[in-house]
Amino acid sequence: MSGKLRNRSSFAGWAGPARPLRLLAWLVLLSLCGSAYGQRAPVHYFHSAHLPPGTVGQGQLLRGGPLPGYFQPVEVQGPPGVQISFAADGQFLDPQPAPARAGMLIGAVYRFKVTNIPRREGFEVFPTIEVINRTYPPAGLAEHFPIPIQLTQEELELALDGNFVLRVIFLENPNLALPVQSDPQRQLVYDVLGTEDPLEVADRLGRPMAILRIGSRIPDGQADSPRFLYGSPPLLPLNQPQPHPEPRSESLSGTRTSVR
Amino acid sequence: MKERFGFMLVCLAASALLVGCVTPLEHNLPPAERLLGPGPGVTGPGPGVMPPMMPVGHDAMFASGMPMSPGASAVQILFRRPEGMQVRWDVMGEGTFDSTPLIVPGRQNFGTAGIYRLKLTNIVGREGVELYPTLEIGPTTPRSEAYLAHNAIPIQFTEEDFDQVLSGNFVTKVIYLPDPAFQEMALANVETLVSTRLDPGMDPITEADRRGAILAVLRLGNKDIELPGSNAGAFSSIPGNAGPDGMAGPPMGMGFGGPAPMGPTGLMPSHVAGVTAPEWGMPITGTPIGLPGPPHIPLGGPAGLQQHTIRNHTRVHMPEPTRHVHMNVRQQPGFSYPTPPNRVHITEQSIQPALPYNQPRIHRHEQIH
Repeated sequence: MSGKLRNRSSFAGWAGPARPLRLLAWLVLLSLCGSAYGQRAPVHYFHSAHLPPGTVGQGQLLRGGPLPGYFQPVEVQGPPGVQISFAADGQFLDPQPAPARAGMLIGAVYRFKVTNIPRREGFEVFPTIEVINRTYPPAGLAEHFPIPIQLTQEELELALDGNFVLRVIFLENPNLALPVQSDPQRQLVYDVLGTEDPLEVADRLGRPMAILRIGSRIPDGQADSPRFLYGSPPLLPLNQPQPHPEPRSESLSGTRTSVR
Repeated sequence: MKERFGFMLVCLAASALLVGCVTPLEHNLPPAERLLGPGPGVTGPGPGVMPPMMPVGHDAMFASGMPMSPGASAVQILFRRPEGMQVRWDVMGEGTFDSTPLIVPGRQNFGTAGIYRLKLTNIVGREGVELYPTLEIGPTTPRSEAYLAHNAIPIQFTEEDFDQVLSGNFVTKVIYLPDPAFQEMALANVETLVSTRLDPGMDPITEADRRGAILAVLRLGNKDIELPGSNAGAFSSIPGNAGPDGMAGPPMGMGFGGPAPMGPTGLMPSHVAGVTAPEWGMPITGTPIGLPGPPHIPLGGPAGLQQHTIRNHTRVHMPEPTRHVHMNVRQQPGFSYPTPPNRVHITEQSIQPALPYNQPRIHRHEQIH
């Protein structure tokens, strides 16, 4: 008869101090774990879209970066037949049919005139554009990628009826974009509730680029007064839209990509 | 079994505590509009906030390149209804109503923070009725500046308003821009509170101030300002608006030709430290045992309450200022210069020229004849 003898009492006595060590190791291991994504502290937004015009853009300039002095191309689109007049040197320029293009400084507020509105001929609207960020297009192709600002018929009529329309144009985050083909001529519009800040919603969806404000106020007693035009900040006139360069996929022979 | 269960409970509690399953540490700040002020619930200049952040339309900011808002100095009033009514206001002096009549609907610019006396005539369906309401324009605030820069303040008189006034009642209409919490859609539009439609005892100005930013206050009664013997006349009572000879001087506010206010507005920006609110740091909490606080109830009775306790459950985390900051600075790429020489060997060598640069031989001799 052969066998092994095991002193259970001594084994139990050895395992006693091991439990606290194992527990301590377990706690140390857990302490190294980071907090989950949902446990992050919420972001506080210093600015809101309801601040006076120019505040958000000026605050953006204070953050530094290649923003001061850069003329961001902007394209103002509108319903068919709408005429756009930008303001420069204290007066409105000659009207040009939409879409109209111009280079605008970041942080400045640009007033422009919208005339020949369909179904509201004879009425004029004087919206403002505040560019709060810039794009970084390839060298020499800045004019091909302006910030598109669409004036819809509904918004123009709402403004003429005395409402105040505020629109924040943002650059969509490619990681959050829907993987479906969309019409490039039609912008995605999100209507926010009154309790939400449009600038905050735009920041969650992408990168806010410009703020458009439309109302029914017309120029003061002195036509085109500097105060009404926000001092007429420098405006860089741009040419009419040029055809976009061919995508690289089409220039390569035998390769063509399509998304359906 | 009990030990294992207890061990698992301890591990679960420890893991929950360590990985942060409790309330995450948040650093809450007031909203952006409130951060523009000097402190919680207080607007206007004061400590704690850098003032150059807010372009509120001052000329100095315009000179420094900051955008200047058109809504800061003058607001645009849109008289909507009733159509065909004529509106006049003072230009050269109080009570003159010498402006060009404005046919409703029409627009006119008025200076901010002023009270203007209007004259309403040619009211459709009420021929011969002349009313003299006052229009009080509130000051421009950061909340209302964007709206006033793009919109006109709509003013309209309804048949109910005229009926109330002609029956001897006093009508107060407050036009205000509701706060986001009081508006359903992002489409901002002004709202109007009328005193005759509110519950008795409710002040429309107080209620509008609670709901948003007051843009204008319209007060309408049946007093005839132009009756003989009234205070208003050809001589101006506008402060600083009378010339040395007693004749009306240049108007205030909007400049020559614009509406002249009959006085400053009483609508101050809400909660300005030292103006409409106590100085920064002064307690305003009412105490039931003495000043500052409400009177004792019943009025005139002795203060029976001897002690009261207020518990403040606000979570406060005010860290001490950093006394010493370690800064490690590194510039990349760094600087790489050649090592400067510390030893120099100089060899001076004269080489015999290959050409004979000696004195010509003929010059070495002198011939004497």
